[in-house]
Amino acid sequence: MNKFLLRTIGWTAAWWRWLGADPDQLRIILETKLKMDSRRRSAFGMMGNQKKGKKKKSQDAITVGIFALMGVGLMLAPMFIPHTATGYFMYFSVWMIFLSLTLITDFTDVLIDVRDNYILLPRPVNDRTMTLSRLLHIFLYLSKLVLGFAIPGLIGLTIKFGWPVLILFPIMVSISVVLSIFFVNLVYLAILRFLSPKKFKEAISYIQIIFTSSILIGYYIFPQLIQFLDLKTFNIFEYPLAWFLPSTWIAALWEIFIHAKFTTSLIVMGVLALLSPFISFYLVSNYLAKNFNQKMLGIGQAGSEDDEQKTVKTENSQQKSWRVRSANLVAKHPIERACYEWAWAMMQRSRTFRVKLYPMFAFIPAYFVYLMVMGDGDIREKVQSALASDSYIILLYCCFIVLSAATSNARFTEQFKAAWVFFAKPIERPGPIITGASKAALMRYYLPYYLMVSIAVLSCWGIDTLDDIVLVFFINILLSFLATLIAYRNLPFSIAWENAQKANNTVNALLTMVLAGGVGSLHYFVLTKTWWLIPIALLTTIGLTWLVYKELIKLNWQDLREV
Amino acid sequence: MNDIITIRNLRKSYGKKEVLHSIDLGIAPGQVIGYIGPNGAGKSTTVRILAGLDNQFEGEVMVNGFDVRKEGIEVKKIIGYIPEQTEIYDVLTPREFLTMLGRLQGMEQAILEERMVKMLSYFGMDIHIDERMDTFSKGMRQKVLLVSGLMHNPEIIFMDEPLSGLDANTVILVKEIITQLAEQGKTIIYCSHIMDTVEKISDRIILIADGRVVADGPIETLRAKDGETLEAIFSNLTGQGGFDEKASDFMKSFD
Repeated sequence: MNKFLLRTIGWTAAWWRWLGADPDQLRIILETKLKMDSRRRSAFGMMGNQKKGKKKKSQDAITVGIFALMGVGLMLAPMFIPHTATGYFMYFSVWMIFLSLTLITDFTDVLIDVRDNYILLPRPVNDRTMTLSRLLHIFLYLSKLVLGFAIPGLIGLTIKFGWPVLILFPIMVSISVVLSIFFVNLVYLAILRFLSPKKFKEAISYIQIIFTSSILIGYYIFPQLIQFLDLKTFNIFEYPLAWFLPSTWIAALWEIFIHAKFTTSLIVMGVLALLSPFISFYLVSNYLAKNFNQKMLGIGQAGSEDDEQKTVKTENSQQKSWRVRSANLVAKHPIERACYEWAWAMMQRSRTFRVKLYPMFAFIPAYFVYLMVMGDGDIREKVQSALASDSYIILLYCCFIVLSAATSNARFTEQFKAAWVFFAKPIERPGPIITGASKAALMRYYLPYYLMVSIAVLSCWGIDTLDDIVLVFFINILLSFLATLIAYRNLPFSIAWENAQKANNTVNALLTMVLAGGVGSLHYFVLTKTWWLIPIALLTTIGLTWLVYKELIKLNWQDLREV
Repeated sequence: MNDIITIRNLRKSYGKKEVLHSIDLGIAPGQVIGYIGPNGAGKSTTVRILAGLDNQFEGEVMVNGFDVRKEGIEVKKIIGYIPEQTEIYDVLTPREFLTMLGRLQGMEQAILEERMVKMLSYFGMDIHIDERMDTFSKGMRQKVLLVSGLMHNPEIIFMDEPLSGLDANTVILVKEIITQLAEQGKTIIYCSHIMDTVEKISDRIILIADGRVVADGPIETLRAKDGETLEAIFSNLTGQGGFDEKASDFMKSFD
């Protein structure tokens, strides 16, 4: 398929020339990028063990399969919602948000691949060729995913609505893909216009965090929203605000071409749908891309204007940071203390780590609220009954997610090769390195988060919850240490992010969540009913935590898991 | 005098490919060894084994009487290692990175702090001590690594391309430091491709090619036998040469 698409560039050379790009250079750059793609691990393909790229084809199949499943799920909207165009609006809204999110989270590295700057910028390649090569690279890569997503819709909707779908649906999907890419580029370019290149990655990481949080929250909130809408009579075109959404424009094509409806608003939206991909290409190549590549160059270079802001406060003996003070407090072993401070700084400054962890902070309260209000009935009554029950126990146990995510993700880094330092130093056993990092995760993320949640619980449920708050605080730590001892026996910041699946990160995370859920259920159904068990459970938990910690600190080099 | 480093019948393989073939070496205390060889000859592999970073080998390797495989911790207490690749946790500052390494080495905090600042200042790096290293050039990172390998005052120092990326003045400074470390009786294994530096600072040259020692001795002995300069010795013993002709042929590629 790649070959066919590359040939297409040759056939449409005049179009690329009109856009200001050199079609020959464009084809060569793309060919090389696709070759490199085929030789590296795919972000989507990391579903299982990957050895030497042998499973590339089956991984592609898995990835396409996942997108196909999503396509099957979403096509139910236009199939069964009485106002079909509204169904299409939902179908394309969810799809475009998902696609944009995927682009931002998985293609940032492709977009800001600074190697381009060193390899291509010294050559006679113009800005537009470089920008369009980036856009097309993503477009070609995504086309596989798009096909996986769209084919079920194409088949299902053709069966339901007849042959015109065969013509119209591919056009609608193509528009949605081009507009999603345009939107993401617009975000990138806007950030680069207003922020320095050095801050670009930082800004992108916060967008990633916001997007991931929105998706996590939206996953639970969206079904609730649907319940509020009366889908039997709901018509998206009756809401003028929706007219500004590209997914509404795409849905308008259905009304125009299938139902032959020609109101002014529908025609305007239909024209916008058909013209917007061309306009977006034109805007990107003629206006937005002008200084894009020069600004990109700054991302990979040292010595920019905001270097000063990267200076980290000196921690002398008079002005010790919370990091140093807390290290002295909780990490007595010298190696443990050194690694505590190091891991703290690594967690604080690692962009990918933050992107993985921070959405959890928003997810936990959202998930809890969802659990409280899900199902039929009056929301106010549900909240009242939640406040009258011991439901806060669930919220307290949910905080384990923060601790678990911090501890497990603290094994990964882009700078994993720097872990040679641990092997070059006279360290008898790696246990203190691991416990140092675990304690840093605990003190930096879990403790403040749990404190905030505890204040909320105390305010809403009263002082009687204090014993449960203290008990769950320790249980979560015990579970985290147990998970580290059993599943996460790796040096901190020593594994490449791309090996996260190899390290069974998701499986282990799920298993520890199940364990926490089990313990939480036991607490909810047994301990809350028998108050005198709480002190016994507390003492037992503290004792067990101490024992597990002792086991952790005794870990030998041979005990470490290889990834 | 007893050797401080003894290597007997050292073999190392990556999969089925053997990269070190039965190497035997003895290194006396206080010697500065210029360990040279073509790319992929096995220099870095030998140094990694000596520094206790790689235990997957055959043969016997003793450092200061300690078996590197069984008593690696004891070995690591007395060595300093400056790796070829500048792989560091670059989101940290030099202060944070060196503090961590110094503590892992067991240094006292006060000594560590004082020595780190002083050593960095000689490389003009004290002004960058609290800046994150992700903005540093290769040379700046190399300076941090040099300090990391020396600040605990090790008895034996393994330097794998220590001058990589350094500016001319720093190169002169590092060469002088190596000379003075040798005068203090430190044992130094120095891997490099820069022949004139190796020639100037080494008491003894060990030339390795295809995982085998092909020359071993003081520079004067090697000169008498294999060539005028170390560069010439290197070319002769590694089976290379005829560079004039090769360059001419290269230029003909433009025709």
